[in-house]
Amino acid sequence: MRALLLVACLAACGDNLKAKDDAGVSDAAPDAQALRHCLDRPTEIVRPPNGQLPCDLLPPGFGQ
Amino acid sequence: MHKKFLLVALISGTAAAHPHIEGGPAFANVSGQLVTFGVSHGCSGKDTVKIEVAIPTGVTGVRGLYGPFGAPKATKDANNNVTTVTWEKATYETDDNTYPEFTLRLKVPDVPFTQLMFSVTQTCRDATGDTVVVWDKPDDTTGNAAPRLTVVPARAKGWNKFMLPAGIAEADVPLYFGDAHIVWKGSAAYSPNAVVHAMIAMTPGVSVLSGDLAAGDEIWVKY
Repeated sequence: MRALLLVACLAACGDNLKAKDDAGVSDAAPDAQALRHCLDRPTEIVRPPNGQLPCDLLPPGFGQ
Repeated sequence: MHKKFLLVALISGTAAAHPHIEGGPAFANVSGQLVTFGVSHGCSGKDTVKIEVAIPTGVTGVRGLYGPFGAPKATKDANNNVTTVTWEKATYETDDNTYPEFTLRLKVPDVPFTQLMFSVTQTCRDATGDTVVVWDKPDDTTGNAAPRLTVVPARAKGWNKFMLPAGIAEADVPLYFGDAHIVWKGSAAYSPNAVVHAMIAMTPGVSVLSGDLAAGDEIWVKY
């Protein structure tokens, strides 16, 4: 009986470790290769840069 | 004694590095600003033992800070305005390896987009005697250039609208707007930042600011 409980316990521990890996959640920092400036990933952001001045660099009243 | 110093200066020539103003610019018509003068070198290998700074007309509220030579001494005119501030030490080093700094607290007049010249008299000493160099010329082509303090208008972070009280030569635009994000005159813009400058050139309906700015021009500046 004790041997059976021991086997069951080991099996449970193994399952838990495997489940943690599968979840893909980690406290580690994201891969540095994934960090790129907006200009280097124009297809991934809502408003891709077009090389022109953004509106916050136009003075008040500009174009009126 | 002073005449003796000047006489030695005439003999010794100009073999010294500029005393210069560190940091800046200063804000027009704002009290309590600190202006620091750095003395890179002595005179021909001699240690600097005395620095006298002449205060330009219109600069008020002047006080010298304690420095590496101790407490400064000030002279004043009949209106009680400080005209010179002098720091002096009694001893000298046997070589010229120090970098002394001297700081004034002052208020510059309401003269934005200009530069104020501070004439500086530097005295150096070694066992052979004193050497005095006067830094009072507008630029190096005419002699020993005086340190210049760049004056800009007081501003807030973000957008500021200015009417220029005096013209600004195109070559001086980076001098007065070196810490701006972007400067606009009409549909022409300038930025000291290379990336923003490229955006200016790429934006339809916008041109790169060129030419001199004139007195009375209205400009928008974002800091």
